[in-house]
Amino acid sequence: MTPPILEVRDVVKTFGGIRAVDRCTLSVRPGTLTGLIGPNGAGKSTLFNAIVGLYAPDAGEIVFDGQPITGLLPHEVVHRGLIKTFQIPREFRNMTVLENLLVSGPPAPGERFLDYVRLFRGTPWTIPNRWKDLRGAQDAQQHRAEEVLATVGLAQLRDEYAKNLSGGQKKLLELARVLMARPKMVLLDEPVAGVNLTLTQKLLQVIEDLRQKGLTFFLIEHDMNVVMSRCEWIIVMHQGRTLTEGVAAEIKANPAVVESYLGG
Amino acid sequence: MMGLAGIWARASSLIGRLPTWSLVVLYLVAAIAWVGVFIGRLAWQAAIQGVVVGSIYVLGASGLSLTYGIRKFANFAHGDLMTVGAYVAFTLNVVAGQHIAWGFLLAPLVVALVAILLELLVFRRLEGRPNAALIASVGIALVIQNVISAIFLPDVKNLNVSVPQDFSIGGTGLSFNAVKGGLTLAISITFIVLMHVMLQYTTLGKAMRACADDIDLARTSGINVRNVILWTWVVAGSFAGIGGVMLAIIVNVYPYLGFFVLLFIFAAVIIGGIGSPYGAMLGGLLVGVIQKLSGVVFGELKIAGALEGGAAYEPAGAFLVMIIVLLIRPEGLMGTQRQRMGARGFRLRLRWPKGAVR
Amino acid sequence: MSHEYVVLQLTNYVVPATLLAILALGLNLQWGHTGLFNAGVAAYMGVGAYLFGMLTTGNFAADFNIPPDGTPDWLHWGPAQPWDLIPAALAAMVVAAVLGVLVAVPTLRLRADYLAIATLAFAEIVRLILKNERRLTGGDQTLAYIPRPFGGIVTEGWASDGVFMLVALALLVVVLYAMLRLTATPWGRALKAVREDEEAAEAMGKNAFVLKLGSIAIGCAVMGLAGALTVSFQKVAIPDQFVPFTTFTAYVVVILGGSGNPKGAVLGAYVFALFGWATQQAKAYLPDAFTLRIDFVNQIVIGLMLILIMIFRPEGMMPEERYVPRRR
Repeated sequence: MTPPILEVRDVVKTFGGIRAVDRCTLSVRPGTLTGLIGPNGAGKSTLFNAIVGLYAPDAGEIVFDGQPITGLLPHEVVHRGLIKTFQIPREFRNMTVLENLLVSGPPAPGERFLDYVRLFRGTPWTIPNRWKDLRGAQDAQQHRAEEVLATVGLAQLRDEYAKNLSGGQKKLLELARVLMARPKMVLLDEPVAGVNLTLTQKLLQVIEDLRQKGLTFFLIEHDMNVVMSRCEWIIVMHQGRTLTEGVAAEIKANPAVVESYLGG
Repeated sequence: MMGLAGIWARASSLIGRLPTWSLVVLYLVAAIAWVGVFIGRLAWQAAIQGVVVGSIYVLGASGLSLTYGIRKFANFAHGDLMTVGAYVAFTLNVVAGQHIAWGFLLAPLVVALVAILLELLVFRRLEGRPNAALIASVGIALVIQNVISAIFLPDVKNLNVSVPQDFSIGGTGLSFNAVKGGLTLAISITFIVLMHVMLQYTTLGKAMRACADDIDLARTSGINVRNVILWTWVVAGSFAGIGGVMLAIIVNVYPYLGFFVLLFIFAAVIIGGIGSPYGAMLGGLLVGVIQKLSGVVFGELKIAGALEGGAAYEPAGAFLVMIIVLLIRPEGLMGTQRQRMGARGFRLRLRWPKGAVR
Repeated sequence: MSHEYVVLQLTNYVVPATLLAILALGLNLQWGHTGLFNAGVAAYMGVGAYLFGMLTTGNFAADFNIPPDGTPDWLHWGPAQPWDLIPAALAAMVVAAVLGVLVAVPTLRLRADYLAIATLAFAEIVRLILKNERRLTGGDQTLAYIPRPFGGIVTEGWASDGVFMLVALALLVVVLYAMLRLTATPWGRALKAVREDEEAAEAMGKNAFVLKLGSIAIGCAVMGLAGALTVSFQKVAIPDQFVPFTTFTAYVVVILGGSGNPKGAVLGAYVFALFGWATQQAKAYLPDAFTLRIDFVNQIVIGLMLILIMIFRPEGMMPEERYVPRRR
């Protein structure tokens, strides 16, 4: 049995007097599309934020790909290969769609001072070559960005300002951005909420194609059709901790799960 | 047998139950006493002056805190509202030859009017854009300062009021001025009480607090938010007007009077805590005392040859304390917890406060 | 019209405009491009100015005997031998940058308006130090006899002014080019992302703190250069030149010209300076009562401009340009 790619152990996150995440423990196996469901207020989004480092957990540990990531800053978590989308898309409004993609992920060539310092290392006549290499790497990145745009179907909006996109297109942009980061695992926070049926199918197809190439997806979603039909493993959260987990059939049949949604 | 540990435990629980403001006053008195050990009587004299100056800051800071709380931006023109009040007093007292008491009546009215004008013409259009409102308020400050300069010319003027001499307090060797000290304190305390009554016991006050807390909720609860905002400006403006008159009496009148005081008022609001007019009042007092105390301390440093500035560094002392408060406890002494200030600890430089991430 | 007159008139406008443009380019990187509300502009300019002045006049000022025009000597800190201009200017830039970073480390996490207030307060503290520490900076007595570029070769009034103008313009071109190239790099793009949404940028893998520090460092270095050039042109350094109004002026220029666009910042500087120059020229043609007040009217117009721009056209004259990828 392959070791889990993500492990959450006894994580606690408190806001004021409320324990949003209350000693939550779960794990996700690599290469799967795992669902995280639960009633509103169960702590799912908070848990996601704590995993990627947007919140610092008050207690507990998070292990990704065998490395502890508890308390790391979000950009450090992204560098390790774990990234998250936002439930309400947070695009970079006054930048074009292409720029939004180019700026996502671990530092690209040319983003750090060191890149320019390295230009000048070595013999002077090699500098133009290094410069060409740098340019080449940037061109390669742009090429990749355009491919990702084509994959999600936003290629024609490449030079449009992100603020002018429709809601559904912004959702696609969220997905495109995280893909640029070459992650090993993606946390999706309600990726198809408020998205029409056709687009939903398209998004899910993209996700499935990527999953087959080895990406792991951990998905918060309220649309039960999507969760039950697509997720090979489902974890249920309730009042800040895991209630139960299993395959779709087990979860559907579990009376405790229905209870939690109805009022527990 | 009690033992030291027992006494300590008793004392801690007692201190823990005291309200914040009383603790602050206790610490302040302790600080003054401590400085007094080194510098002697000067420290207490500075403290008295500090309370006097601080009570003017209170007038400015409480108004600023109200508009900051309800419009969510730092109004850089607030000091200049005080300048307007000062010049109303000047016009009445010197140009028109009336008794200064009329100034106390007219200045708040005029400044409140100006404040309403600013809200209607400028700030209403910049709702939801706090940085734009801040920059616009800088523009307003420039306009007010220079309109006053153009009309009155920028030389320093004085009011036609006779200020009695300082009188000595018994055998302590400290002196106190009936008008500069006494009147200022009396008026400030009156207005503090008025504001407290308004905020706690009137419908308007409660509506103001509701709007400062959550404006959308207030709107959906049926509160006429637009009117509440206007009334907030009226209150803030009148307080600023009174403060301006006091400044005119105690100091003098020149176009940059209010702007000079602005940073101190910001310091007061920040130290006291954004979102709490009571915090602003406490902050005003603190800033005044810290300012004067640090003036005395820097004076000693000048004599000792370490720093040359002496009393000129008074503002530096107050600003340093403000900066330190911003770094260690950005919500201030009595600020409301939900303010989005920034990270809590120095190492956690990028943690966002509760509720900041969607 | 003699050529001296033409040169003097020209430099009277071009030099302040150019120096303001350099200052604005520094602020534009921090505020227009990265969204950092640094209200301490005057302090970094002042520190650069004073360091340049102190290094280039050196300790010899302390032993200066009564110069020909009879002004008394003064005392301030300086190296035993005065420095050359270029190393002094570089030192001014480095120190301004270091100071900016030191101030930034604890304050960058503050919300925008708090950052503004904190940096404004800090700038006032710096100004008080510059003004009061006579032994260090010459304080209120002003720091004088600051040299100009090529000062040994060209000494006459108008020619010296003209040469300075050329040097300043050359430096402006260099700084503008540097800014344009910097903002076009992936680093510049990352800064924009931080400006747009800092949390989202972090969540996408950008180290927002380090990026902001870099922006602060480079911007403050440019401000220090502007300060050094200013006092070199004036030949004296006055502490009360580095007041909040100086900071506000820089902001007006950046906002008017177009925040986020380096070319806009330069344009804004030249337009703003033109307005100021025109006001000064108008004085000669107005009756006395007006000449006294025209400076105030000037500033009223500036204030109104700020208000109107924020309400109606916050992007300024030259908005930020859209990113168009190169053809590969």
